[in-house]
Amino acid sequence: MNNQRLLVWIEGTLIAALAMALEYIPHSIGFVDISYGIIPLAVYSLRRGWRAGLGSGLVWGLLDLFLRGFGSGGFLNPLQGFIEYPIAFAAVGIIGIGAAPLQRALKLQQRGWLFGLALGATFLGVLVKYGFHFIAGVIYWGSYAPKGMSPVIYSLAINGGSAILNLILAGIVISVLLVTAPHLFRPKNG
Amino acid sequence: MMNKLLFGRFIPGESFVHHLDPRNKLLMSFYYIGIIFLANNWSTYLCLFLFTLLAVYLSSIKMGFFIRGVRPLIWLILFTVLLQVFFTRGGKVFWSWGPIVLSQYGLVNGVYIFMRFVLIIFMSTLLTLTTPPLSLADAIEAILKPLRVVRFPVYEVALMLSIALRFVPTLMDETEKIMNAQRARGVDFGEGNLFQQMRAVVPLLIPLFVSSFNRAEDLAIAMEARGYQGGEGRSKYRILTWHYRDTFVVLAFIALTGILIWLRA
Repeated sequence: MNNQRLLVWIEGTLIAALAMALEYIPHSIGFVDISYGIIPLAVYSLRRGWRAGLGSGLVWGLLDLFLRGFGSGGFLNPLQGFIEYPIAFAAVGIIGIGAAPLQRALKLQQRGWLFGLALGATFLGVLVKYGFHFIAGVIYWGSYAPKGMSPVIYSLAINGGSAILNLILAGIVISVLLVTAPHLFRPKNG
Repeated sequence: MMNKLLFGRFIPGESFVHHLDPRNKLLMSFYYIGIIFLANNWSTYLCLFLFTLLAVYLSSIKMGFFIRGVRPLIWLILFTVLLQVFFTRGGKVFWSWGPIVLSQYGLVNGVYIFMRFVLIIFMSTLLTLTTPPLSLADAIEAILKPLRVVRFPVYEVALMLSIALRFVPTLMDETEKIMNAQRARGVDFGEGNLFQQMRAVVPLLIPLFVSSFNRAEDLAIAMEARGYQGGEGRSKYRILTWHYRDTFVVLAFIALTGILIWLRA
């Protein structure tokens, strides 16, 4: 294992730990769940690419499952649990598909491109994550809602609100970080 | 705070359940969540209830810890149960108002769904109360090993998980320190509307990112200096051992499945 690859996945490990630590920050907007953990994952994925992002997201998902999910009844159906934790959290790494063009835009100081790419990729990652939560919700409601009731509507109502709030959160925070701390997006030894 | 997070909700002990192999506990917990869907009448739910009660008893952990596990999900449970109670039709109708019907089947289904929730939460709480997260990480590594065939980096993911578990409390302490510094300047976390909450979190993030990236660099250099060459062929500090009691537990779960299939309507 070469030095660069080791550094990339150790960074991913620390980012997964940071994402988990941020989940414990007090936050409440009614019943809707805000996930601060998406922000470090977005920065890391834009810094190191989608493969590294998927790995770090997977570790974040497993951490969340061990430290919160199992103990708080987040795993109520085998397929729902599998999609809700490892898959949905890993999917945030998709943000990394914007990494290569973002690095070019950073080098060339193309501000318009920079924000467009960062926000576009972040929105895609958040949407894919909540897309998986939606599927997990459909499976959950499919096995727990009364017969004849559409599980799609329940899952959409619960996950749709969270997706919108997290899109706004991630979009604003990533934009602020691009202005105030662009060096966070530039990989060291990159 | 650090120790509390490092061990998750783990309560140290010397019980039968504590001494089970974490691979077994993890796999059997998943299996239990699967077979619970076989229950569809009073006798099958009673059978699962007694089995779960025996598992709780064998863990020597107070019932209060398990009941507390239900608390975070109480609203979701109540919502789901009420949906079942008021929107399931069939059997004798006790009361109705428009589309809302209180029927015999609805009440029975409500009780079944409530039991299913409670039993799943009790069993997954049993897993987290009797297994430290690091052992769960070892168990995940063992369970994922077959994925090496498709070149999935099992060792790397397991090591990442172990290192991350080690650093979550450290980063939480750091987050807490920065939050306290911000609070001293008048910032309220978790208060106000979404935009105010977002504004509060930005000054937290930059120092946390910088320190995480610096720690990662130090750790990578330390690992390289100690000759880390990837996962293959590495010896382990914590070795998992399968005992007769683990085989006994697997047989008990197989027997439970057989009984559920036999008793279900």
